[in-house]
Amino acid sequence: MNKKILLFLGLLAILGAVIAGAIFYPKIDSQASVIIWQLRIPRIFLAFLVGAGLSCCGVVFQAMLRNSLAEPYTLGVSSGAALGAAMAIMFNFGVFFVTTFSFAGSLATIFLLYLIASRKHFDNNTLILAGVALSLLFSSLVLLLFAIAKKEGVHSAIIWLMGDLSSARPEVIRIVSGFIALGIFILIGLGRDLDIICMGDEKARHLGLNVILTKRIFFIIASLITGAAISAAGIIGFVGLIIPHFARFLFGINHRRLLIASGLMGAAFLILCDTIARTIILPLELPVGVVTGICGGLFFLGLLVKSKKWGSV
Amino acid sequence: MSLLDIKGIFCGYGNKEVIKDVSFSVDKGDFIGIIGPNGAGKTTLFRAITGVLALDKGSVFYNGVDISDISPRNLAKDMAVIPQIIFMPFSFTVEEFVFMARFAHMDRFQPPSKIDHDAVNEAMSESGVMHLKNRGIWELSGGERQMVLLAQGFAQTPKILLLDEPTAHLDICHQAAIMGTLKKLNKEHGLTVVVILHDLNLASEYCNNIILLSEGKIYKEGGASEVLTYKAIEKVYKTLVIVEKNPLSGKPYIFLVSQQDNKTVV
Repeated sequence: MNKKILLFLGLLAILGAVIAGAIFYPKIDSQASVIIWQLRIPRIFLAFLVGAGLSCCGVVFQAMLRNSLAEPYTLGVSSGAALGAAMAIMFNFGVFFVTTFSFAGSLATIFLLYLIASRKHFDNNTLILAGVALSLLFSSLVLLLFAIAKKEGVHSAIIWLMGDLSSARPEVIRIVSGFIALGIFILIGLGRDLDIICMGDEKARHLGLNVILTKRIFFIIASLITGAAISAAGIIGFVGLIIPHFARFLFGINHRRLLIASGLMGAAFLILCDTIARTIILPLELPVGVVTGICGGLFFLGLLVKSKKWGSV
Repeated sequence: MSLLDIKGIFCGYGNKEVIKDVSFSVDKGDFIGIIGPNGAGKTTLFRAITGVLALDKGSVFYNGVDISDISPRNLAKDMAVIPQIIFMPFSFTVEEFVFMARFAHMDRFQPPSKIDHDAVNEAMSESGVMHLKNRGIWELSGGERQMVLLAQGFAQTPKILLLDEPTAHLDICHQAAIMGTLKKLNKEHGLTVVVILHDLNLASEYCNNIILLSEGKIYKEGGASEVLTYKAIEKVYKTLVIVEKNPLSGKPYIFLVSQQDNKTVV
């Protein structure tokens, strides 16, 4: 356990170093401080919230669908949110509507997924396959939207689609951060319910949980967080998959603790990935979704190949 | 007033009626065994009694209150249900797993009280899983898992405990341990037990009252010597048996008649 805590502190130290570096390193002239305060800090702040939010959503989906491969990206929820956001962007709606549409998109995707999966008794394979199919479908629809629109903003829109923390405007960050922070706090408060949900609907009910109501609440909050994150930062894949696994490995499965740990680790991870994306091909920038996608895709494959059979008690 | 009153219930899945007009009551301190062949509706009956499955007709009363009017949380304070098998997506530790039993008793935003800790510890030592407390659920053997499920049921500090085949797939050592523990709690703490059993001899040995279920109806109900007659068993299970007395307890003991011996007997 001590080693785990050390590792965790190490991660936090990296996070701290990145923030401190961004703030203190180039304090030579005022131009640099403008960059720090108006570009870097908001960006790090956004990365913090989006990383934390997506990781917590991963924890929630994995517990609720009782499937350790579930997360907003693999379930297609991210793409659904992106479709919603893309529509709002194309029709030039305001910032608030982009977030609202994005939320509606993610909620609709979960609803669809739930419908499909319930026909097959929530079979693990069905769930993931349906998620992948929905993900591809919605991504294609987003591309279709962009292709039809033929506006000058298409290039930046596609960058956004690949996951991009650099282009969010301050007012977007403000709205989105409110939603995400609120959502995470509620999730942590409901941590114990999430433990019980892992037992399956019937046993959860016998332990005293109002299963239908609780699941509804979790689906809505997870959709809200995902929608908010995607509307600001585009599709950032696999964060919600990798981080909960590491957090579970380090801190066990108690969900209140797991949510806090996943939130912090996800935040640190996304800030790190964004720093890599920003610096690795200077003077150009990579979309951060490319970095998380490469890390996450490899991790996902490894998990598929190596993972034990799902246990039963 | 009975603790649990089942009055003329009909239920099933879709338009397939599995349970047809079943009525019985469970008094405080009862130790009731439910037996019957595969497909007789034992588990479905359980799901109906515990409020998971909606009833098409009839009602179930707990302490005189219709069970569908009791919130899951309030019901869980009094009634624990131990299923046959639980699929676990993550390997909780044994202690975490048993602690979930306290969910209904705890305030959502308060840390566990001393009562909660005591209940969990007592349940774990009662079912002999204290030494496993920091182990992951996935690492346990079948017998150990069943004992942990039992501990979770005890930790819920219920007034009535319902178990669905707690001894399935276990060796006789674990079978005796589970049934013995149940009997002990039943006698010492007045815990009411309703248990589905496949093993007729276990039912005979441990249960005060036996309900023999056949095709969704109660075929016979009563003490072991009334229900476990060779006629009743041959009728319901469609299998030849010989019923003798257990020399120690005097309870009926059922011997299977295999096909070859069958010829010589008849």
